[in-house]
Order: sequence, then structure tokens, then C-alpha cells
Amino acid sequence: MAGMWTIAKKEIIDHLTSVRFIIIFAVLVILILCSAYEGVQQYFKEGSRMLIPGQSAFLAVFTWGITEKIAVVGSLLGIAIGFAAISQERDSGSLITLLTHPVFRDSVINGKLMAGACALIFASFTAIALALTTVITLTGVAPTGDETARLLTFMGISGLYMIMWLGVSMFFSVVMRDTTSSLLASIITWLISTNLIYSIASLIASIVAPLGGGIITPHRIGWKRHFEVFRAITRFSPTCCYRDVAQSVLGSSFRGGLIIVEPGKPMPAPPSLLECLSQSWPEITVIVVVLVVSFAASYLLFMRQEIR
Amino acid sequence: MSTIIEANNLTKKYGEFTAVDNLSLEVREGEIFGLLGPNGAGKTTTIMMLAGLIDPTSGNAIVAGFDVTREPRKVKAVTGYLHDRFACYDNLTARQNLDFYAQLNDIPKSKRAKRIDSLLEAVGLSRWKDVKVGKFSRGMKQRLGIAQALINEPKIVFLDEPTAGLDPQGTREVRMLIKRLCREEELTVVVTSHILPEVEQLCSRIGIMKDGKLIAVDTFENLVKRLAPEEGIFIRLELNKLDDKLLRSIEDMPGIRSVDRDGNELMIHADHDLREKLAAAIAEAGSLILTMHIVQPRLEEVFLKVYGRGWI
Ligand SMILES: Nc1ncnc2c1ncn2[C@@H]1O[C@H](COP(=O)(O)OP(=O)(O)OP(=O)(O)O)[C@@H](O)[C@H]1O
Ligand SMILES: [Mg+2]
Repeated sequence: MAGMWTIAKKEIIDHLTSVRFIIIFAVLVILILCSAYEGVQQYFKEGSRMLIPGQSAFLAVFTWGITEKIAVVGSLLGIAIGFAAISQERDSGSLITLLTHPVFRDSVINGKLMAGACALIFASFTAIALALTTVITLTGVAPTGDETARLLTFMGISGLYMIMWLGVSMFFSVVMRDTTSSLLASIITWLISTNLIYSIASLIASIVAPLGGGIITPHRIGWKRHFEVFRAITRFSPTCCYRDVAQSVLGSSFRGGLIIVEPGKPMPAPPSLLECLSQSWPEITVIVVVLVVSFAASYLLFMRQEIR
Repeated sequence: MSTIIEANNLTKKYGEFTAVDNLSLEVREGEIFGLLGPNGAGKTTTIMMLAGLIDPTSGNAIVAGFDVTREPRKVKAVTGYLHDRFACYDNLTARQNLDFYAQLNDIPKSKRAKRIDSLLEAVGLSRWKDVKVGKFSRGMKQRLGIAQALINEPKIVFLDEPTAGLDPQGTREVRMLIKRLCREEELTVVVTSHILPEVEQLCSRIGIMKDGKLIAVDTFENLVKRLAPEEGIFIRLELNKLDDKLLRSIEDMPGIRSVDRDGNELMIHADHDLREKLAAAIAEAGSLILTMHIVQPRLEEVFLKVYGRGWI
């Protein structure tokens, strides 16, 4: 792996000192802190009423906006790090200079992925840790062991989700002719994942399985079917998958997003963290597959590419 | 002198298009070898293959003892390369850039600082070592590019149009730098150019490329000599007086191709050296020769005719 560490080291320093990274990271932190504050206000105002039965009030604060901010802005941070990774060096000519030195080509792309991943893990952990500190300070409540485990898992999933965007945008930076096209391709993919698929899923779900105007009761078959159709389509969106996993890990959603309480039976017990994770397996798989496929594709293409 | 670069039937095709066509070449240790040719002749493609940067479609090359297709990393470890659009990292300083490349070459930390300082000194960038490269002028970047190519104490450096885009002052400086470094660091240099005076000044031997083919390899003097017979020679003549009768008798002399008159001065294009006959004819006509000498054909003009299309 000649040169990989050298390249990774240089890239990490580049990222952490780049204006692009610092600005988006700052925006992410500010948004998350605002969400944490709002969540705490909600926690004080509504107490346990905002909760889904069985969910921890402490964790509910985190689902209040923070997840959404990472889903949207965190992904942008991943793109910001990745979209220029190869294409900018190719545009400027520094890629050829780099390759005239005795490095393996894999070291170049591996080093860049590794550096980007480190920067993103740093970003997601720092942002969430800051939010956690804020929540603990404002509420004066410390998380229990289970809550801590869930928060750590949430951090991991968030990091993974952001790294997935790094992979996707790096793929475009390898494939596209120049940096502008690469950024455009990443942004379009991002729009599709964060907005388009969600909208289409809602639309199709309400055509295929209309909810009707009546009072929604959990018994209604249409409601369940509506949800199934919606979920099946949103699986194509890593952002929706991330939302699902994050909410499930934070304990704010039962499978299918609704609790079916059979009349006369007691409330089902809330699932444990492991149960949550195994329920969310398809969604986690989607994120991992997108990451692995996009990275493998960029890797193979880059190894073969003519450098001029 | 031993052979340090040996290319055999190197060919590079881009689809149907042949950028380099069956090129065989030998470069000797310690020489400055020039590849000369018009735009698109295949110079860059050739040296990129020699430096292990792109794979030839067929043929092979041994550079400093290593096969360029099988061991490109070893080739890169003992060569330096200055790309024709050289660029490094604008957000890093000159010193940081060189340090990065030094690390890629596994130069131990203890040696790095010294090597970088001496290189920056050699290319005249000492004063700018802590300035970000983004602020550098074209000429400064080019000099940094040369330093970068020398970071691993290479045996061979490939310089692709090292003076392109530089002003006359910068051009002269870079040429002098190349000559000096070649002497001091015991380098073999392969340099490409489409500017004749550049390779003439710099190179011990010159290869002329056109349409992907290497059409001639020799020293500058031999190239000129070889081309001279078909080109004839030019004789410049200045007389104290020149009448029409004398002019006509010179024009009618066998072996004269053309005569241009400018006052009492003549520029005579002849098949071969006719100075003796000219002197006799002039004496007979009662004129005196003030000056008479052979004008070396300007290589540009010769090459232009022989290799077609203007590209100087
Ligand atoms: N990636 C590529 N795909 C297709 N054709 C290419 C590619 N790279 C180079 N060529 C073609 O190969 C030919 C040789 O190019 P090369 O850059 O080696 O010429 P050169 O002698 O260095 O010219 P210049 O003086 O302009 O630098 C050119 O006609 C060019 O168009
Ligand atoms: Mg060229």
C-alpha cells in the first residue's frame, strides 16, 4: 500500500482545513444544536405525551429534528468531501504529477476514501456529541446504559450514512469528465434520495392504497397496505432508509411505523436495541450496498482509466 | 557510454488512431536527449510510456534496467517527470508540496528537509518556500515542477516542454537550470519541445517525430549536415560595385539556383560551394569583393521544407 498513508494524511489535513468542509460542518452543528434545543423544549412542555408508548423520553429529543438534519445536511457534507476527490486533481493536472511518483493507483483512491471517512466520522461524532452534551446540560438527565448504547449506534449509523454519500460522490468524481459535472451528478442523486423518492412513494401509496377520509384506526387494512407500499418504494432511497434505521434505533418507531394493538390485548413491549437493528436490517443493507457498490465501481474504473 | 533507455517498437493506439507508431529509440547515460516535433506528433505519449505512466498498446521499453509495463513503480522510483501542464497542490506551500512527494518516494524524514532545501535553492525558490503554490507565477511553478521531478535523486528525468508558456527570461533561466542540474546531478535528461533553438542549445542528440513516427535521430550537427546536400548552400556576397552584366553572368553560372539582389549585396543559393568560381568571375568583371561567406542554413527553414508543414 505504498503511499496510502501519506495520501490519507494529506487529505485529512486538506479536509479539516478546507473552507467547504468547515462551513457545512458548522451549519450542521448549528442546525443540530437548534434541534436539540427545540427537542428539549418539547420534552419540558409535553413530557411523556409526545412519546410513543415505551419510548425513552430522553432519546425522543434526538428524533426531534436531529435525525432529519443529518439525513439532509450530513449527506451534503459527504458530497462536499467526495465530489472533487479525483476530478479536481484530474482537472488541475496534479493527478498526473501524483502518479509520476511511485504510488499504486489503489493507494490514491483508498487513501482518499479513508481520509474522507475519517473526516466524516469525526464530523458526525462531534456533532452528535455536542447535541448530547446540550441535552444533558439542559435537562439535567443522564442517559441510561441502554440509551447510551442506542446513541452510540445512532452515531455509527449516521457516520455510515455520511460515508455512503462520500462513496457516491467519489464515484461521480471518477466517472464524470470534470468537477462541475461531478457535483451536478451528486446533487441530482441527493435530490432524488432526499426528496423525489419520498414524494413518489407517497403519491403511489395513496393511489394504490388510498387512506380515505375517515378516522384512522389501526385496524384498517388500507392503512397497513398504504404503509407497506410506501416502505417498499422508499427502500430505493438511502435517505429514507437512514431515517427509518435511525428512528428505529432511537426507539421512536415500531416496525411499519405503527403499532397495531389488538383489542383486549396489552401493549406490546418496546423492542430492544438488537431487535431494532435486526428489524432494520433491510434498510442497513441498502446503505451498505450503495456504499460498497459505488466504491467498488469507482475503484475499478479508476484503475483502468487513462490518466490524460 | 551505456544505454539507459531502450525502446523497442513502442506503439500507442487510441481506438483507431495511432499516436505513437513503432518507435524504437536508445538514449545513452548522461546525455540530454531532445524529442522534437510539431503538436500532436506523439512526443508526450512517448515519454509518458517511457516513464511508466501509460501502457503501450504494443512494444516494450527498458528504462534504467526496468521494464516499463511490468515494473512501472520501479521505473518511477528512479525517474523524475515534469508534465507539460505541471500542477501540484495550490493550497500547500512549495515546501509542503515537495515534502509530500518526498514521502511518496519513501525518503526518510531525516533526509527530507535537507533535500528539499537544497532543491529549492537549486531552482531559485528558497525565498518562496513557505508561500502557497497558488500564488506562484507560471515560471515559479515550472521551476517547482523541476524540483519535484528531482526529489528522488533520479537517474533520468523526463521534461515535457519545460519552457512552454514562459517569457524569454524564464525560458533562458529554465534552460540554464536544466543544463546545470544535468551536469551537477549526473542526470540523463529526455526533453520534448517543438522549439528548435531550444533543443539545439540544450540537447546532445535530437530525435525528430512526426505523426507518431520517429523519423530521424542524430546530433544537431549531423542532422544539419545530412539535410544540407539536398538543400544546397547559401552564400552572402558584398561587392564594391555591381552591374547588370556581372549579375547576369553569376545567375548563368552552372550550379546556381537563385540570386537575390539588395543594392550591392547578393544572397546566392547554390548546389554546392561555388566561392572560388564566383571570386574569379567577379575579378574578371573588375569588381572587388568586400565580404563573402557561407550562411549556415537556418535549421528551422530546412526542417520546415524537409518535414513539411510549418511548426516552428
Ligand atoms: N487520450 C487520448 N485519446 C485519443 N487521442 C489522444 C489521447 N491522448 C493523445 N491523443 C492523440 O495522440 C496524438 C499525440 O499526442 P501527444 O500529446 O503525444 O502529442 P505531442 O507531440 O506531445 O503534442 P504537443 O506538442 O501538442 O504536446 C495527438 O494527435 C492527440 O490528439
Ligand atoms: Mg505534448
